[in-house]
Order: sequence, then structure tokens, then C-alpha cells
Amino acid sequence: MIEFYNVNAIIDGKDILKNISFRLLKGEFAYLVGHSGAGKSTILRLIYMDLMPVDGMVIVGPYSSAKIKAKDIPFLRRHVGVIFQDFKLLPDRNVFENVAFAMRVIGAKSSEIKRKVLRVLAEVNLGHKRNHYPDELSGGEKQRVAIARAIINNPFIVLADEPTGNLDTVSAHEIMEILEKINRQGTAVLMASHNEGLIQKYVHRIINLKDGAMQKL
Amino acid sequence: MSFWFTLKEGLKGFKRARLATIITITSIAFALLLIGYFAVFVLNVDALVGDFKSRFEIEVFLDADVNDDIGKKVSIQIKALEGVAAVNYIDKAKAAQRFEKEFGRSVYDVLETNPLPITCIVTLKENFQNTQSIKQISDKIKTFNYVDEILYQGDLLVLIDQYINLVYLIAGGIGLVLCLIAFILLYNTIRLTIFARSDIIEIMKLVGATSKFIRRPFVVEGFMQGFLGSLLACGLLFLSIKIIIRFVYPYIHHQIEPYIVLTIFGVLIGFLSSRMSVSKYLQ
Repeated sequence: MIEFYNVNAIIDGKDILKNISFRLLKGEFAYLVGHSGAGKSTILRLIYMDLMPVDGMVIVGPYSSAKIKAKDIPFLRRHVGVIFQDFKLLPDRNVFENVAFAMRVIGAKSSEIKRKVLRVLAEVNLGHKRNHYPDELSGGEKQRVAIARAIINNPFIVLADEPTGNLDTVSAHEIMEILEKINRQGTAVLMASHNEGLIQKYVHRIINLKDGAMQKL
Repeated sequence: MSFWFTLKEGLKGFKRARLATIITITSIAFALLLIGYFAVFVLNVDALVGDFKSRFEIEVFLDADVNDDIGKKVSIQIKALEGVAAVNYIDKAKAAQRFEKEFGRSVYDVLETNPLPITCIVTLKENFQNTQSIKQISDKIKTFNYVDEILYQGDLLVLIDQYINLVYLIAGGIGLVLCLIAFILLYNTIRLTIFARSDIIEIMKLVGATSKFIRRPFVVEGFMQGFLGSLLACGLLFLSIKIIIRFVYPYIHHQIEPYIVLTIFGVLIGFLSSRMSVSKYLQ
């Protein structure tokens, strides 16, 4: 489903990734680990094609970095949910609207949006806070809104870039539980993380990076 | 994508960036106001020239011994020429009256006989009120029998024709520069508002919004800003022209055209500059 073939990536003239090859299967859960600057976020950016490899090829479902046209990238992203450490919520919209936004973008009908958003908010235990604004939520709640937005369009993979980086231990575990649940429902998860405690507790495959290259554990 | 969603998002942009919106609308209004004043000035110069030209006359003096029957025939001949709007036929008696009116004394008191010739005062159709046509028509009249002399203020007309073209050329240049300034001003102001909302664009891209989808609310916003800016410009133009007419110069031609131009231009500039700036940002 996700395949990296000898991928090299350069950002601002610096080699960030060197000859990366790996495969992530349908419904798999994997961690991307490594110190800061190792290239974890770059791998995620390559998957949602915010960045293109200078060498090699990235395949995401039916899309290939070698062949995809700029106009098709939005359609690829509709199959990929992304969550970030800093949540990236719209501060002037409430929880419902933040999640609904991802559906409005793809032209969903209002009735479908209402039904689906309420269901997904219930899944992340935020149904009761649907009218709250981001600044009225805790870090854990904000991240749950971000997860709800990431999964609302039924992506085949969720990319999580340090999703627990800004959270306390309890909230971090809540987020992990939700990601586990999403994964059990068949969605693949690729999570970049520093948090060794979580990685040890929620055991999954680990892709280890060091200075832009893959390392054997 | 629903039309209402685009419209709602575009209008929400107003609320989200109130200060930027006010600055943009004010900038558009003042740029357009400048163009408006300029348009009023040019239209007034045009009207003044038109007025002068419409009062332009060719005086055709017939030979002194020509009688009334022949005079009338010549007058009909002149009237039949292409470009001639009207011929005011002045017989010897009328010419004497005019003399008395102008000089305060009867011609008979001075000379005992009336030596004044029959005169045809020729006015031209609007399209023929230019140096070239006037020369052509007067040359034709000169070939008619019994025509003694033709008088018109040719030099003044040549002067006006020469300078008015220069005025229009300069006016066109200044108008173009003003339009360009207004466009660049708005383009940059809208770009700044787009940069200020880069977060929402980033999120839109992240969840799979197409460039078209992202662009539309900004274009609606730019369109509305252009429209409101032009309304403000029209209001200010109207008020200031009324004040000038009342207290400074009452002879200004106050027409509807500048207002129509400002509104169309405001909307167009808002639409184009927002479309171009958001497209550039997305690239």
C-alpha cells in the first residue's frame, strides 16, 4: 500500500533522506523513530506528497510520485489522514466545523456531513464538545479533534507526526488508544514518535532512522 | 462544491480579518476615487471641447450684387453638402439689423446704402466638426458661384484639435498608470491577507482541497471588497463633486459614466487581483 523505493530527499540543499526503502502493508501499524532531524517528518511529507523525492519512488495506494500530476495530489490526500503535534485546527471554528471542514472540501452533502461528523466525534469521545472552540479544549481534546478530522473521509492510512509530543501522559495514552482502535478497524497507521514509553507499551513494527538513513534495530 | 459554502467562506473572510478588510476596501476606494476625479476631469474637458465645436460656424459671404433669389439658391446648395447640419440664411436686411445690433448705429446712417452682402452661417454635423472636414466643406463652398469670401476660426480649431489629442493621450497614459497602481495596491493588500490566513490554506491543502476550491472563497472576498470599495469611492466622488459645484465651480458636467466605470472597475480589480494573488500563493 505504501512503498518507498531507494528514496532520496533534499530540503534546502541538504540531504535529508538517503536511499530509503520500505513497505507498509494494508492495515499495518508502524512507528518511525529517530532523533530530531533524522527524517521522520520528511517521510510523512513524501507520503502525502507535500515533498517529492529527488531520486527513487514513493507509491501510495494507486498513486506514484513518479507519475502523479500536481492536480491529482488533493485527491491522494483525501485517502491519507494527517495529524500533527501542533494539531493544526482552525481557531475560529468549533469542533464540529473543524471536522466537517474536511468533508466540505470534498463536496459532501450537509446531511451526510452532520451524520458522519457526529458519529466520528462520538468515536473520539468528543460528541459533547462539538460546539466548543479549540481554545476551550485541552491538548488531548484538540488532538482528538485532529484525529476525527483525519479519519472522517475514511482514509486508508493515518500519518501521525509526533501526535503525543505536546500532551501529558494520560492524554498521550488516550490518543494511542484511539489510534489503536482506528488501526483495529483496518486503517494503517504510520506514527513518528520519540516517546519510548508509548512505543514499548503499544508494540508495533519500528522503522528506525538515523541521519536520513534506515538503521537495523 | 456548494455555491453557498463558497459564498459563506468568502464572507467569513471579512469577519476573520476585519482590519485587513477595512484597509483593503479603503485602499480600493481611494485608488478608485483618484480614477473617478480623473474621469470627471477628462469628461469635462471633452464636454467643453464638444460645446465649443458645436458652436463653431462657417460664415459664407456672397457677392455684394447677389439678389435674394440667387442667395437662397446658394444657401440650398450649401445645405445639400455632406456634413452640413444647418444653414442660417441672412439676407441684406437682416445683415443690416445685425450691424446695428453689433455697432449701435444703422448702416444707412453711415453709408446711406446697404453694402452688406447676403451671408450664410453654416453649422456642421458633430462628426464633421474637425479641421479636415471643415477645410473640405469650405473648399467645396468656395467653388460655388456667387461666393465671395469664407470665414471661420480655423487656426483656433487646428490648435484645439492638436492639443486635445495630446490631452487625451496624456489622460489615457495617466488613467492607465492609475489603474495599474490601483491593481498593484489591491493585489498586494490581498496577498497580505492571504499570507495572514496561510494556516487555513495549509489545512485546506492537507485535507485534500483542490486549488480551485481554495481559490474560490478568496475570489468571492476580493470581488466583494472591490464592490464595496467602488461603492465607497462613488459615494465620496458624488459628495465631493456636489461640494465643488456648490462652493467652488458650478459649471462641472456631473454625469453617471464615471460611477459606472468605477463600479465595474472596482469589481473587476477585486476579482482579478484576488484571483491572481491566491493563485500565485498556491503555486
